[in-house]
Amino acid sequence: MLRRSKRAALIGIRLAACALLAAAAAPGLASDDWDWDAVEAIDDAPVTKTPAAGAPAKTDATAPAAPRAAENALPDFAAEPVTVLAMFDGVAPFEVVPSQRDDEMHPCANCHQWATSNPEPRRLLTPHDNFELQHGLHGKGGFWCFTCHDVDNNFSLKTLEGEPVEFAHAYVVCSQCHAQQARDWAHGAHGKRVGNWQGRRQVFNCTACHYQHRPALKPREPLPGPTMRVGLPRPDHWVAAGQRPDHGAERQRDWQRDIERRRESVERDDTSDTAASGRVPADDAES
Amino acid sequence: MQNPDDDKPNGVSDLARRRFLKGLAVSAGAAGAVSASGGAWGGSTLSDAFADFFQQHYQRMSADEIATTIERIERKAKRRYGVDITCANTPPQDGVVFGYAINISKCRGYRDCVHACVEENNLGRDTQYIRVVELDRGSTDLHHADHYYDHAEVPRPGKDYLPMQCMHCDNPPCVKACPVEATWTEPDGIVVVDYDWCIGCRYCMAACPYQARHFNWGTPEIPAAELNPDTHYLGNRPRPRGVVEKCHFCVQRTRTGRQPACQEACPTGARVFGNLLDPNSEIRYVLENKAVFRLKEDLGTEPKFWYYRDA
Amino acid sequence: MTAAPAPRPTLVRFVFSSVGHLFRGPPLYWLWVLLLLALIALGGWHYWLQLRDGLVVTNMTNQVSWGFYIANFTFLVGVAAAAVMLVVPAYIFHRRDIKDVVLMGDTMAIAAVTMAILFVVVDLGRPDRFWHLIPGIGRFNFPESMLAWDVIVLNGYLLLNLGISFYIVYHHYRGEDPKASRYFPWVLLAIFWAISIHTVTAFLYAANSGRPYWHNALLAPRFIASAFASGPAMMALGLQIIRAISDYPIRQSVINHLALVATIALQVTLFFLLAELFTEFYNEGEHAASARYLFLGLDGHSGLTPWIWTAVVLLSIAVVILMIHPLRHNPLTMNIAFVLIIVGVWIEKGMGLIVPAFVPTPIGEIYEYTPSLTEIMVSVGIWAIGLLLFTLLAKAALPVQCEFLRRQRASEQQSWDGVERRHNAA
Repeated sequence: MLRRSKRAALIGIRLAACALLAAAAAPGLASDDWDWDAVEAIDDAPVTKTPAAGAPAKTDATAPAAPRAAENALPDFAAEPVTVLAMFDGVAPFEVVPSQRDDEMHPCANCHQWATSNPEPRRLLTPHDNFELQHGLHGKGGFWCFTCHDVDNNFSLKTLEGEPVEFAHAYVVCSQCHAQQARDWAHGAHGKRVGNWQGRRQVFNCTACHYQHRPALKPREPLPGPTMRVGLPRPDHWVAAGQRPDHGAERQRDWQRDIERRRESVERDDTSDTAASGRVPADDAES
Repeated sequence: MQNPDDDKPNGVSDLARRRFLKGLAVSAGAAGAVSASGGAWGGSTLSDAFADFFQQHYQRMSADEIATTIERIERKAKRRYGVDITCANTPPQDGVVFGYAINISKCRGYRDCVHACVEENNLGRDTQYIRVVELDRGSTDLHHADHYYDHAEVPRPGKDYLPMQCMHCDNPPCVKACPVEATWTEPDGIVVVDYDWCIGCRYCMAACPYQARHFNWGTPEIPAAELNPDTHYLGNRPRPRGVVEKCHFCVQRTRTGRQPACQEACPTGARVFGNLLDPNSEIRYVLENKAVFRLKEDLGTEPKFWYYRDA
Repeated sequence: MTAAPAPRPTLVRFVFSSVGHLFRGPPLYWLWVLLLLALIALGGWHYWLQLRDGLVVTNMTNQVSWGFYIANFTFLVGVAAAAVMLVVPAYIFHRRDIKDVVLMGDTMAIAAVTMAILFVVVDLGRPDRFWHLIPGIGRFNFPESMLAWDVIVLNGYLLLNLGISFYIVYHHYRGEDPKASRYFPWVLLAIFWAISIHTVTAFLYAANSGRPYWHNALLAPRFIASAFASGPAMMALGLQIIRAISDYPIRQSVINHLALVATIALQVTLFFLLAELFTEFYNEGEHAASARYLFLGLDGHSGLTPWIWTAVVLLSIAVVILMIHPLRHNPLTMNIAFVLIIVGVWIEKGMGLIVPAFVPTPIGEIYEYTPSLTEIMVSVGIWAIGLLLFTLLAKAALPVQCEFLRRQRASEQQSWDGVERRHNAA
């Protein structure tokens, strides 16, 4: 029950944010115009359905939080782990945790939450040219928005066969092509288990690591390498050619910040739902 | 639970030993005074220096003695860093033997694991348990590895990245080498060190084929603000100078079901950690379904640390 | 020097008179002792610095985790074991001339093994925890750990030599012949024990399968061969010095015997070295990286290369000198050869054996090691302790021995001449 209400509250925040954004462009749009049943069309998913009627009330209740949420106005897909659909044989039930990705989000929703989409596959021109899709190895135009998105419902994905898929279950869409990765992911040889090795198994969704519109991971600067022990100078050959003198300290700072952020987010997860915590004591570990 | 000696009927010799040690304690005041005044052994008070000096091997201490020792460890850390730490003594779980697997195709050489480990395990800032080396793609020839790569961006084209740490061998040469049994394999497969028993001869470092052991040449330097207060006796508690330490699979985390810090830090999910005895574990899936290999398998060390590549 | 004591000789008197000898000596003796004491003080000061600051004051790292201390330790184990080269002919083949000086061999063994133990102690990160090694109160990983074996054999060898020497000198002091039935079993044990300190020390290194430079069956034989070159060389030098500054009767035949032993051992040493080099380099693989570092330099790192080639050249010159009979019998060239052997083996069995095993590390890292000032000073201090120990033990034992031999010679003039004739003929 607790979870249900919390989920409702979060959706409420998002709705409030959407409403604020939309207010300028489309004054007539009300949050309860959305068909929430369509968003969660997959019936057998053990995800709590949010009754459409509950949403407006919650929006009011959390109204003060709306401005903060507006900065981050895009949906975060899911607020808590959801049990993975039974699509893999021989895998004990496990859960996916929501994507923590908050940057590089598709700006599409700014318009498409109220604008109708043109379902015709085509080369995207203005005002779509600020968005580049780098997905599909042989793609180069083979993929486009409605390969994965539901043209009729901006808050839903779809399979190639047209079946709607919730964002929280994005792996369903991915696994259509990436079958090997999906199998490895379901069994734990691909992807990442979060928090604990024992007890409830919670893994990242595909989109937590791979930005769905440009799934290849970007190269990045490594953290500093080995250090010589205290009291001895670093041998010459330890320093790679072209190393920047301030490199280490700078990277160290960035990294520190990164760690802080990650730690905070983990802690937030832990406190938000004790049952979902990774620190499951051995005794209640059986799921 | 930790002390097999407790169950054995060797009370008499134990008592004799303790009496002897007590006698020594009284007569060896000078040694203790030197220890305390030198500051060499962590700035202890005289009584703590005594207790340190006569501290028994971890496996030989009774539950009470361990409790007193842990109290002292926490007290010393407070004195040294001004931080309240908790030193746990979580026992190994039944039916658990830890194993690790790394997907080389996924590792991109960011070294996030290296530094997460340094922070988590209260390493002296000149020590790193994990070494990530850069190799030509497909090669595992460590003699042509770059340990100090420092490019503007990784991964570099045509390169593989191979993280190495303690392999927690099932037949560990270091354990055999130690002349005082200061290092041993726990029931959950973790090779641990009793930092208070090690004499610092470094023979284990000569014996280890993976360069996984590290010596505290000086007192480890840890900024007090960065001290991780959640520690374990056999794990990341602050170490004294002059002893050997190594990766312990984050015993303070993993014995309570959590992932080790390196796994948690890995941004690519290249690291798979788990219970080798659980047929449904992720690590077992990797071992049974991937073409895994281990480093220096020809030495017969039986590492519990595998590598694999995506096919 | 001193006359036989008039009252009945007891243990207490023996100790007192021995200690008394230490305080009577010519100015040169005092100068020598003071010099050694100064060096010991210097080494002691640096060891204090090391205790205070930790092993950071050395140049050892996680990559090269053993250095100059263990190098010296290895060399000295060899010297200690070489006493057997006097013990065997003296007690097994009953060579009278050697039996007269065998005690000096034991004394040198005591000094060498003491130094070896001290070198291990200064290498420890936590010398304050030394009691962990004591069986019973500590926890001794025997028989798994080769280091545990080494602790036993080194200390055992020290005790054996102390015991045998004391027994013999004490009986000589009392003017009695030591009972062979009493000490001979111990002498036999000491002979095997001497070989064992070598073998165990070699096995200590060879046991590490992760370090291919050590991990070969030839290591122990090479150890023994080079030890039987350097030990007798050192002993021959020591005996000649004693002969020069005291009236202790040391016959040239003893020196010649030692020179011959050193010659043969050196030939074998060089042959083993050749065998090693061939195996490493004919089909050079990854396992030869350490040997390449030592002899040719690896990836531009060649810190030890000049040293090892110096050693090879020194040993080659020495073996040539010793193989040419006129040169081996010429005191000057022979002693030059002895010095060359000692220096050469010290390099080859010391730094040349220990450091390359760590370069490159098993995971391919290269760190070039050179000892720090502290390491050198502490080592000098330990060598001074060893020399002082040898000086004092010899100083205390020599008068007793001289007195005993004089008496013995007086009573056995006939047979003594016979022995001498027989040896001169041989």
